[in-house]
Amino acid sequence: MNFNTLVISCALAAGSLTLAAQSTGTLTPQEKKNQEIANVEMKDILQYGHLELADKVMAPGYIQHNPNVPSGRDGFKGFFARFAKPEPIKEEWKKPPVLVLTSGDIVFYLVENEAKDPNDPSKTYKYNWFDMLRVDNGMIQEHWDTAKKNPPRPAAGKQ
Amino acid sequence: MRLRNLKLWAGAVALLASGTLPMAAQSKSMTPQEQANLKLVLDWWREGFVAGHAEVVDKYLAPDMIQHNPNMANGSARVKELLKNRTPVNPIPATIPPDRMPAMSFAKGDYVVLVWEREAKDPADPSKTYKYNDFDTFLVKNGKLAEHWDGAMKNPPRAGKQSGKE
Repeated sequence: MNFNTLVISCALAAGSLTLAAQSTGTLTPQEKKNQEIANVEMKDILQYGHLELADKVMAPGYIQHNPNVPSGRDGFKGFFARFAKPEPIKEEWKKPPVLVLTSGDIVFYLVENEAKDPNDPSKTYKYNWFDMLRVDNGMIQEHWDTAKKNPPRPAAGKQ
Repeated sequence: MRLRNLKLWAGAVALLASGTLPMAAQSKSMTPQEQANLKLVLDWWREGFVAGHAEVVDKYLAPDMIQHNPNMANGSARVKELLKNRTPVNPIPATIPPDRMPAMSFAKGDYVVLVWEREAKDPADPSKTYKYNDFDTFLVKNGKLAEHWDGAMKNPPRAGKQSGKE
């Protein structure tokens, strides 16, 4: 979202001028909680490398739809163990998502990535990615993203 | 749980094919405006992309729509051009055919999200297929789709195909 999409609205009742960006909606207390739990995976575990938090926020039967990552909490931990480099967790994201939307038990992240331009490898371009988590009973139960199966040779997973 | 079940904007739950547990209903947590936004996107999908009617573009898309698909230019004109190359389906179907329905959809605030379940050949064994997911996200502004994101990456140069992924 560009900042030229900002909408200026006059709040006459309050007698004040307010700036309103595009709205990501009003969260119920439960949605707020679900988003906080989901952020532990997306930020603290995946960006700050704290895999030990998986036991706190991910259900043992965590269903994984990324075809390169095994299902289950243990499958997740096993897969990311080789990438995780724990750092002190900060309030802010290392790489903030473009958008976080929470609707009921679903938390949706829109992420911007960069890749080499296939027309000119000296250039990069931007494309998007999503991660979606389902939170139920205070635990993350399921994950979806845009990953396709990696070609067989290099065993590296994509996430 | 697989994304086999989907919610229609009316709040009804439609079961598809081999249904497993339905996802918790999203629609019950949507405001009337969010439900209207979701309906707008699903109507656009049905009339524009499923039925291939270029003339509905002006009804749904902002002329200066911001496009994040790296194979598509900004603006609704490019989308119209794309649809003009198709043979329109007449009459426009009243509902989205089950095989063209998003696996999951919801609206929150000014945004609408569609998540798709797709199938591809397994690169490790081309005799097999596997499932993966994809998405479209729209920003709704003044009753029109003003911005669009999806998972498309740049097409490789050779093919010379300029068509963006829908």
